[in-house]
Amino acid sequence: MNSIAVESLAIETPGSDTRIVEGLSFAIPQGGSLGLVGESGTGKTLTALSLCGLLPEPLRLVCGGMSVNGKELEWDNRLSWRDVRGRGIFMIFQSASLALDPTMRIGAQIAETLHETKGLKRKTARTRTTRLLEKVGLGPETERCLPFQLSGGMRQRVQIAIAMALEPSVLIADEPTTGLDPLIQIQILGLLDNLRRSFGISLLIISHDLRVIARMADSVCVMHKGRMVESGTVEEVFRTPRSPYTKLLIESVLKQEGIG
Amino acid sequence: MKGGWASISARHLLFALAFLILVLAGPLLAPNDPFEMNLDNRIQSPSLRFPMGTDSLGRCVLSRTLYGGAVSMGLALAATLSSAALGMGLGLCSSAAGAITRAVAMWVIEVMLAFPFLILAVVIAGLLGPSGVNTWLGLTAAGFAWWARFSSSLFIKAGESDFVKAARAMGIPALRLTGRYLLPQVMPHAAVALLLQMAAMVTAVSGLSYLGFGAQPPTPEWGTMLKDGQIYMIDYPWLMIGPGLAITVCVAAFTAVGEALRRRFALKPLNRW
Amino acid sequence: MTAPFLEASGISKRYIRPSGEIVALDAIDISLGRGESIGIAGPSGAGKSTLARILCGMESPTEGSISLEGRDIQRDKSLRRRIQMIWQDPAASLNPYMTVAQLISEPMEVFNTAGRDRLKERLDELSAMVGIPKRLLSMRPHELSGGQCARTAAARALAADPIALVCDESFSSLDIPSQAELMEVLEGLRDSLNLSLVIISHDLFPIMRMCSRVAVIRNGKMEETGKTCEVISAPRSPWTRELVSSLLTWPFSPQRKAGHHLSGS
Repeated sequence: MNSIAVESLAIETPGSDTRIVEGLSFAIPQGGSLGLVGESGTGKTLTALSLCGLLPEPLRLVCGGMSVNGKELEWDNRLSWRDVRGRGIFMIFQSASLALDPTMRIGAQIAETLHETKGLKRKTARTRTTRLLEKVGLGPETERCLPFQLSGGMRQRVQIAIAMALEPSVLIADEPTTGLDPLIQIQILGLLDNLRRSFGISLLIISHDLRVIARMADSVCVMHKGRMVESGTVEEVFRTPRSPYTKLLIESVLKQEGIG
Repeated sequence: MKGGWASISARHLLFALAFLILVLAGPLLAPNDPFEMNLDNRIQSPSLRFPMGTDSLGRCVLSRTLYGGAVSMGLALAATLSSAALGMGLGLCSSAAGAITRAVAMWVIEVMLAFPFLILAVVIAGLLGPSGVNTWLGLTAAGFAWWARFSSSLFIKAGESDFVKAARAMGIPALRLTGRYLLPQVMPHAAVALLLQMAAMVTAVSGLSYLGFGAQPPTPEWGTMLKDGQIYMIDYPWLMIGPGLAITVCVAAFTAVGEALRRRFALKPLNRW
Repeated sequence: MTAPFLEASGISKRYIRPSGEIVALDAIDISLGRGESIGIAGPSGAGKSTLARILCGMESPTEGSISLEGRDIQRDKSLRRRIQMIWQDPAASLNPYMTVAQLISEPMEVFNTAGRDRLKERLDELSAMVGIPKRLLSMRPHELSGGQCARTAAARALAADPIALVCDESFSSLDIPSQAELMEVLEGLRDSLNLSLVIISHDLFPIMRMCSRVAVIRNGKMEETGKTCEVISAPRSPWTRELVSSLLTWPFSPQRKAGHHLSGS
């Protein structure tokens, strides 16, 4: 069964004919992972936000059909998103400042999530929190910290810990390692991989870095100017790219590594 | 920042147009001489010759209202511009000054802001003596503190943007930095604040005149006219309708255009002066 | 290696905070020849950006000195212009209210590096050098792509007539095609103008591609330094080893495919 299936997703601005994103269709099987790759400004992040029903005004989502866990979703109904967000689809952001409450201590934030969604008692929630933080490689002293006291990599870990607490069907990771040094990057990617393998969470990973996609995803969608130019398994697309744009992207990776 | 002019609707423009006609074309539209007294025609009801009637000295209320716009608005404009210029100059200096100087300057400003704007203006204008020029001085002195605080925080924020830091590191001289890097960032905010403060200043000018501090008779001025008409209000309401309506339209026009501009630039609401 | 002409010796930077003294940099030595490029790698918070600001003369070190062609840049302020910086986010470092032409011309006007009458000529020269087509000159930064902004930032830095460029994480905010674009531009400039480059990056790829030597900094201290190929292939410090081993490489590269072919046959 597919964790999420989307049919011809589009994002439009009212009063304008051009759509920011158009004709994006994909499905992720349970425990699978899909990479969304493209240059910056191509609409990747907006796509991710639209999948959480969080598009900023006045943008609008138009969709041929969307299902989460096999259940059809009324994507044009605001209320139906409320049931999906969090447990169904959860998103971790590139800049954790969007996702974490800047005035709340880390421990309290995670415990709150556990209390609200799992109905755990406050005390059990706190012990679970410690265990979750441990799983993402953070010590118990992190619980007392406020988000701004943590480094970028640590904040990503906290977001992943919240994702573990929620156990969503689909986790969207928007540029989760951009701006982190390679050492931290590989650790964060390892955590995300672990999330997929041990919790069976499907992963939609968004990145401009083809290497991250190649490392993390089973299949890939290549986006250019809001349109899907190519899709298939990572092996297919990256080894034998058909679209000239994909070829261009791969070429730039090789150039950047000093090979091309 | 592209597009979005649609958010300024025809309604706002209509308002703006109404006030412009009122002020610029006012003297041309006036049917009578606003100074010409005629004691035989005292307090007449509206007629063809005097569309809004006459006041206690037999002068045409409509003509006086139309002429009064130039005085009220002129004073308000002068006070807004001078307080903005003075305040923004100080704001710029304090944003460039060291932390201690800035703290002291802002402390003084905060003390000034502790007094309500209109009361401060009344006190200053009152001490200087009633006249148009003193009204202007009073309003400027009462208004600049708000601008200093407002613009100082804007200049500080503008100075923190990456491209200003980069330019500073490159060694771009201070004058150029201010003109081409800082001011363009502050201008949208200042433009909105100018329009919104204009609305407040129109009320303040009329208010001061109403209290007897502003323009002196026989100069036609909305606030003075309101005061003159007040005693006859119950029996001859047209004496107050003209100037009252003019003030209302003016304030509404400036506020509407200012607010529309604020939304256009997606700025936060301003706190009151 | 050419004789060092940009030399930083014994650079330390300490900050006094209420909580105590913070050591941002501790006795860092770096030397760089004309037309050479050196990479400075390390995790975030290692003191790389502090080093960049000190090299550009924007901050003075607590101890140590920086000399350019044998002259101390702390003493001779006029030298500062000769070391220009390309910032972390090239797009954000450009004044959004100015056109590309104005941005590139500004340093020439301010420092009088071109002379009044040669301004236009020099503008064309510089934009051709970094590959900015004429039609972009009248545009403003928000109309440009990331790569075009990076090119503009490079041209603007060049307009001040520098002999060394410091790139402080200039690549990390760019997507990969724009990174490749900026690398090509910088390499071209280094070779044609004999510019020296200091590439500061937490990512190793820009350094691996552009720099003959690398210095790895960690916690403000020099962890390891040497030829890039040697440090990457045989790191001496355990921490560098870990850094190199965590590098994500492109698994579908032609060489690897060829190698795979060989082993298969």
